[in-house]
Amino acid sequence: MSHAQASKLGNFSYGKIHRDLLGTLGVPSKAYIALILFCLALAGWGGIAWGYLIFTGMGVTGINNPVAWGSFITTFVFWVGIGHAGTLISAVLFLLRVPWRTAIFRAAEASTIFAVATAGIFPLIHMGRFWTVYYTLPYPNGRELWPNFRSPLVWDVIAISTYLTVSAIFFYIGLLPDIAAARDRAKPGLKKTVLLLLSLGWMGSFKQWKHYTAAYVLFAALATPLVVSVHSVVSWDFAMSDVPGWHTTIFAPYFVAGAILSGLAMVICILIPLRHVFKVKHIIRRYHLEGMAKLLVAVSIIVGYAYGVEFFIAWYAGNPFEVAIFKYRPTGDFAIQFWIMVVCNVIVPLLYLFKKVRTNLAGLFIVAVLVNVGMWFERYNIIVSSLSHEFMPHTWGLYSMTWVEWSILIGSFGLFFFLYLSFIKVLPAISVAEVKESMPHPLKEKH
Amino acid sequence: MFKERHPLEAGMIGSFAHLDCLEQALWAAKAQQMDVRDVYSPVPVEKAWEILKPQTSPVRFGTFVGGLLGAVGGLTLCILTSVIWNIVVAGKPVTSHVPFMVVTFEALVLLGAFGTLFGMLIAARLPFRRFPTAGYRPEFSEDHFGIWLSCPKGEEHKARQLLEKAGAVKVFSIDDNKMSEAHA
Repeated sequence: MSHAQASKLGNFSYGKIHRDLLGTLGVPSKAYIALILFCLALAGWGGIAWGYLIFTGMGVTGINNPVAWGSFITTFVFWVGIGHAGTLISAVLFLLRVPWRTAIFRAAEASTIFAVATAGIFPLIHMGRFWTVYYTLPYPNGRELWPNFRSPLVWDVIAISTYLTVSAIFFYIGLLPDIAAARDRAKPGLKKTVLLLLSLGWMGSFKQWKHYTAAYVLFAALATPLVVSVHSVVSWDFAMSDVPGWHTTIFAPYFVAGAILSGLAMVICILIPLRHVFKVKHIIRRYHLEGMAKLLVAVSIIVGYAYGVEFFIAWYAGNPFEVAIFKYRPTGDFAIQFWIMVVCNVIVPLLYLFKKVRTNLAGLFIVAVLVNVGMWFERYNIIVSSLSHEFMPHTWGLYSMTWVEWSILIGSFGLFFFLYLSFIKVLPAISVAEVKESMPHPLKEKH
Repeated sequence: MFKERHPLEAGMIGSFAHLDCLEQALWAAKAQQMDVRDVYSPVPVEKAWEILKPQTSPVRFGTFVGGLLGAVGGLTLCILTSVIWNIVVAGKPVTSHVPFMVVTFEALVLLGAFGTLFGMLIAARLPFRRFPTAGYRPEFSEDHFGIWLSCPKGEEHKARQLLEKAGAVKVFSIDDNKMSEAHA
């Protein structure tokens, strides 16, 4: 069965797809405006909490000694992970010629950009006095803070900045033909002028397409190793230290699999309401969501395997500190968070093995939301449990989040969805050109 | 394909609803040695590349040069900074090549992406300052395919005939002012 048959796009014309997809950029409904204002209000509440933290000091958070990395770093790693699915779907699945990618990759790419942008705020929040951020930049200065390219924290800044930049370029280049299509459809005015500038004068000439397709493959090839490298580098923030529960070589593949898992879950959470609100169920079909669900369950099994291997290594290596932390996690002070993680990330996704669940929208959505909850708790579990239970019992301590941290966490969701909702009304969230490309070409002589 | 232009040149645009008609028109134009000035489409049309045989895209050279500069630059940055502002830890070497590979790799990808971007923009002549060209129609970004043929003045009927015979749904002629703009 070809992709066009499977996705049932063969029944539509280029014109219909064009009108349906660019029609999503029309006048927003009242429900949309209410939703975007709600998200803005959440982001604003997070901003107020951050302002309170700045004026009052880090004491308003639960961060303490020994748990110096709390919810802010947890949420930072969570959002970087969410950003993984976009490039996975747009680059890796493009190179692998996976047919269900076409209708959904733009929505996934947008989630990458906004998730990584949201993540970028958290190291600043965690700093407290964020205006001194330039102290951390790797350049020679008079404060005896010398550039140290051996530090995983410096690698992390470089890796995430590179990921965001390359993803943004890839995203923009992919958008060019669609911006041109929106430009040609727009009425004269400010919107048309902006689209005219953004389209760079794209006309879809055969030479432009030739260079575009060549560049697109190269971007995909460059972005693919980034999918693996970014979360590997994030994992080394932990693995390069000697903290029990962190200092392990499995962290890089474990983090990459976890990031892909959370990213896929977020894309499913976004696509289900999107296809309903924009009335594009004939383009984003259950077939596409089912493809994502199958990939999600495969990645979830890898993550489950990684959880198991961590325990095995702790036991097999015979290091008493490692054994202690891996006994502490499922039975200690943070056992609830540990079991939420295991249930949501390993057990619940197995429901996707049943066709009834993965083809049912409510089932798909609930599982995806739970996976996102589980993935946030995974990072919480890794960071907090290890720091609270290091080598010496007299340094052990507990950690719990305060209202300021909860507010900033909720505000980050508000910010992400505000940015996302703003985007989908300005530019097409589904690639017009690629959906057309995946359809049978219009032929006079039917073969 | 882009021959030297005749000062007294006319332009004819054919708009096609079907891809096979476009292909037919391209083959006919090639057989009659007509000058195909451009082909527009809402999706990439590989058949047009096969018939018109444009040069292989040079974008990959941009990627290569960018990637090479990135890798060399990233490694040089790490080595020079660690030599100049060295952190001596016991007997360990001042330059640590394994950790520097992370920065080298990221710089390779970053500059490789910029090289690809600039390579594509230069090769595709973007941003295109004189938008739209005389031959472009908004329908070419929606559901139609376009061919821009140029021919000596007085022979417009040949081009029109060719386009209509191939199945063009509309044929436009480009007025003289726009043709001279296109030459500029």
